[in-house]
Amino acid sequence: MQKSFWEVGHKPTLFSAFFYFDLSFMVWVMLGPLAVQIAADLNLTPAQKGLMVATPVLTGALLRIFMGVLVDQIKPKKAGLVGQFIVIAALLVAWLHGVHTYQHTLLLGMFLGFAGAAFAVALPLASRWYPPEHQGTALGIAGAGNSGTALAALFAPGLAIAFGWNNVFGLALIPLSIALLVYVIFAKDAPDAPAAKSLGQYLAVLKDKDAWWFMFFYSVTFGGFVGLASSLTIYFNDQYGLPPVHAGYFTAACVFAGSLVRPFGGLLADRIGGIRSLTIMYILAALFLFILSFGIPTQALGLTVVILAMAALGMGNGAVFQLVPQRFRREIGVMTGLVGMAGGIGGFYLASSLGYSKQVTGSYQIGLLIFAGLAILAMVGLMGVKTRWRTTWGAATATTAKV
Amino acid sequence: MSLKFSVGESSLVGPRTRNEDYAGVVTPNHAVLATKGALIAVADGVSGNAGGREAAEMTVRTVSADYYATPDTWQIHISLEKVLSAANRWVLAQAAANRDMSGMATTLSLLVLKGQRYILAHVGDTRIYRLRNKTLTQLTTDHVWDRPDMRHVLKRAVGLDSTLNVDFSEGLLEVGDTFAMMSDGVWEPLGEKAIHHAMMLYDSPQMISDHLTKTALEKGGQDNATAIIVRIDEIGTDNLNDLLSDAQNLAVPPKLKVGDALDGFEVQDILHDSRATVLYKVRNQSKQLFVLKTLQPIMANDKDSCQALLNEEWLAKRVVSQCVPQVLPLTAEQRKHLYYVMTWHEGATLQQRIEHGHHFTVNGVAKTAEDLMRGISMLHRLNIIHRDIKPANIHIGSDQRLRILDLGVALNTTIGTPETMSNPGTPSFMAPELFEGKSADITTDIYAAGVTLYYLLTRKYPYGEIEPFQAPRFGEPIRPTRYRPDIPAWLENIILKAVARDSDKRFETADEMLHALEYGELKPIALQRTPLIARARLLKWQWLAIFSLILNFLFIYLLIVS
Repeated sequence: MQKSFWEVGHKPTLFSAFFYFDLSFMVWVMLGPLAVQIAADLNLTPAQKGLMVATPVLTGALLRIFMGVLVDQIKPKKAGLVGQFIVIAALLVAWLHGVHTYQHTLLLGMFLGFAGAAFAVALPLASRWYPPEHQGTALGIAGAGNSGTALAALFAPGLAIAFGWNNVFGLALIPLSIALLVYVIFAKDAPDAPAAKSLGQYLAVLKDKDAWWFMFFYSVTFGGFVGLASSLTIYFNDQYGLPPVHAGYFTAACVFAGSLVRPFGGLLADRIGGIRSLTIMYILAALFLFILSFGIPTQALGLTVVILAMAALGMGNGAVFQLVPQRFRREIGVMTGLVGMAGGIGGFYLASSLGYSKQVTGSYQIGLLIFAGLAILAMVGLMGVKTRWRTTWGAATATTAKV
Repeated sequence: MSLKFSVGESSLVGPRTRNEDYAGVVTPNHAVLATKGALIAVADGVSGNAGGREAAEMTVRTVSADYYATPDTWQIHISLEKVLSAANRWVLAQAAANRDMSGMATTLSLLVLKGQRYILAHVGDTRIYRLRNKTLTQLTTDHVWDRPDMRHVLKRAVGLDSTLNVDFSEGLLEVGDTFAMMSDGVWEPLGEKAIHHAMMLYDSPQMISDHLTKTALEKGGQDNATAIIVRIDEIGTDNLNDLLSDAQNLAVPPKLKVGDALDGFEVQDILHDSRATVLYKVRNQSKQLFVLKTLQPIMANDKDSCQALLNEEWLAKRVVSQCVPQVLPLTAEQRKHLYYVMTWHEGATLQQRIEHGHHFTVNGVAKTAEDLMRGISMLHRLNIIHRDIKPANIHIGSDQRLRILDLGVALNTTIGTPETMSNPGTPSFMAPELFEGKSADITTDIYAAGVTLYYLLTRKYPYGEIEPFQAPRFGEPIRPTRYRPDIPAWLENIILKAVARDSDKRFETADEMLHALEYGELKPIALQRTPLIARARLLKWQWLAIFSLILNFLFIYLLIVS
């Protein structure tokens, strides 16, 4: 008889990893909700706004690989400490010195990328404690830290009005320090760590066609999720003329929807099959993005459509991560890094393309339509994967490995 | 590292006129030692007449010769049981045929040492002791009547009864273990304490055995005294990694193109190109066609996969049958890379036929089913569970012969213990219990065969298509007649019985299913209908009850309000 989830593993680590991950994601996308106010003060064009919110997403994506390597070299806990110190230092400088130009925002965004890279630390930190059959649940709980993106949208605009947006950076330091403290006290490295990954392993995984497809799948689901999470405040502000705080609440609702359904996406994939559920999610996401691209006249309706799109993308995230650890048992450490990076790049693309779309054509339609097209493309890719996967699984390749 | 042990043996006649004890030690060469192990036996013949010696000697001789003739894929105790019951019949027949041998019988204590374990078979009052860490344990029980005056009358022996009931036990070996096997002429006069003392006294097994028999007679033993001492010097492994170690250094060949040559085989075509393996159609110098199976170059550093391919070849070589492609024996000089070669057959797999739009008639499928079950039954007789029966692994040659392909994930105890984590296979063809982590057995192959037949007839799966990495729920199977009404009831029932969700409700053996197929309409099998209560799970009924309760409260409320 297999032990139940709560009987195995290490709960303090699981929850401190979740907490750390959650707050890291909060600061990672905090430029998004603040974008309206920052843009007003610094006179940014729509494209600049887009790039500003997209920068942390991009650096976060690339740094995931770096953090992944760091995790291998110095164990997850220390790697997490390094990441947190860099983020705290960057916010401290931004708060004390101030952000005065467009270039400054990009520079801050780059450092906030370290917060986004928390993904590559928190997940192995928690899941290494768990046996293979419970890794999915552990990853799901730690991964629910995605909801941190909602916290930023919820609080940042309001605080910016009350204290000025520059002071929000300082205020963010309070929860971050608490998380750091909790992390230092409770998080513990799992006793047995898998062998360090070499650059060669990254290249070896890329020889596998499925690896590329999964990077693409995640770049659509997670890219869509995080891209929208960063841009929605600007979008609601532009489209419906909502004040920043209001737009922040709307964004928070959408992000919440997207991140809370993620575990359900995993469960659904477990029950009816990952490919089947991803196909459904891509169809839904494409459909809602398509509807959204035509500009919905009323706020409530627009909000509903965005929430539905985010929910489909969020469940897609869960479904992708139900499949990845099982498909790439041996290369899972490398693959989480690569897939996570692809997700971030997708987010960067969406956030910046929406900005350019607005600047060049005056509306978000083209940007959204292209992204809906990508979802359709991912669905077509799934068909190929589905056919290729009707084959014998297991055998020697089924031996277990850890994140 | 392979098993190493040293043996000492001694047998003295004592005061008697004849030696009716018989001892045998078989220490085979490297390859057989790894698959069948070494066999050591002691027998003590009984009967007043001349037959005692005869029975003891013939039993030990036939058992030690026939054991090595049983299939390599069989489990050791199954092989022993088969040869022991044959020896028993032989002794009985001889005793019945020759007056002066009537009543002959023999005790037998037998030890098979293989890899890291020993298997013990025992009848009668010869004994096996094991000395480990200075403690002596008796591993056998004497099969004698437990009354003072009948201590020498055997309850069980080879040649005593038409059914032979053998004690089997097995255990792990440790370096330094010393086994002592002896007839009652040794243990009775000496007693356990003296045996223990003798075994601690000397280092050399030969000296121990000499000492045991000599002192037994000195202490007034009236019977023949025979003792064998076996000391374990090194233990081996429970898989074939040792045996196949020569081939482990072979390099995985690069990806070949049509026209390329590898060790004298010229590639004609690429038959199959999957994640881990590649199959080429090749031609040798004398223009004969073969299939060459090897790993993808990307798997070159994956030791487990390389080992798996060697295991697969070893297993395929052992299946000498028309139902599977035959492996071409290759010498080490011929083979410079990691691959193996098997016979090529003109024709197509069922999967290829499906893809080419072949329409399968009901009669055609029924015939295929019979051939398939014959093939599966043959594999099961060899103690091989295929684990991947599906249309893509069933080939119908242009000679109309059905061949089962790909023993890549086949399960056999000789190869090694099954991996506990996940069951390999093709998800849509895997039985429900495999998803819960149970090990594959005969009935899971039957399930896969049932799904295959279902698929050939309807192009659908009885429980819907199952994706890899899915944890499916199994409800009731959809009756194939729903998709294809021309399927006769008898065939439908056979298929539904084969794909039953509960493994107890399936056919017990492939032969039983074959039998049902052969009789077909003449003797249709009845299918137990699952009652409604069992069809939905308990949880569903509980929810239904809660729902109806709420509904009732609502109605009562409405009644009161109105």
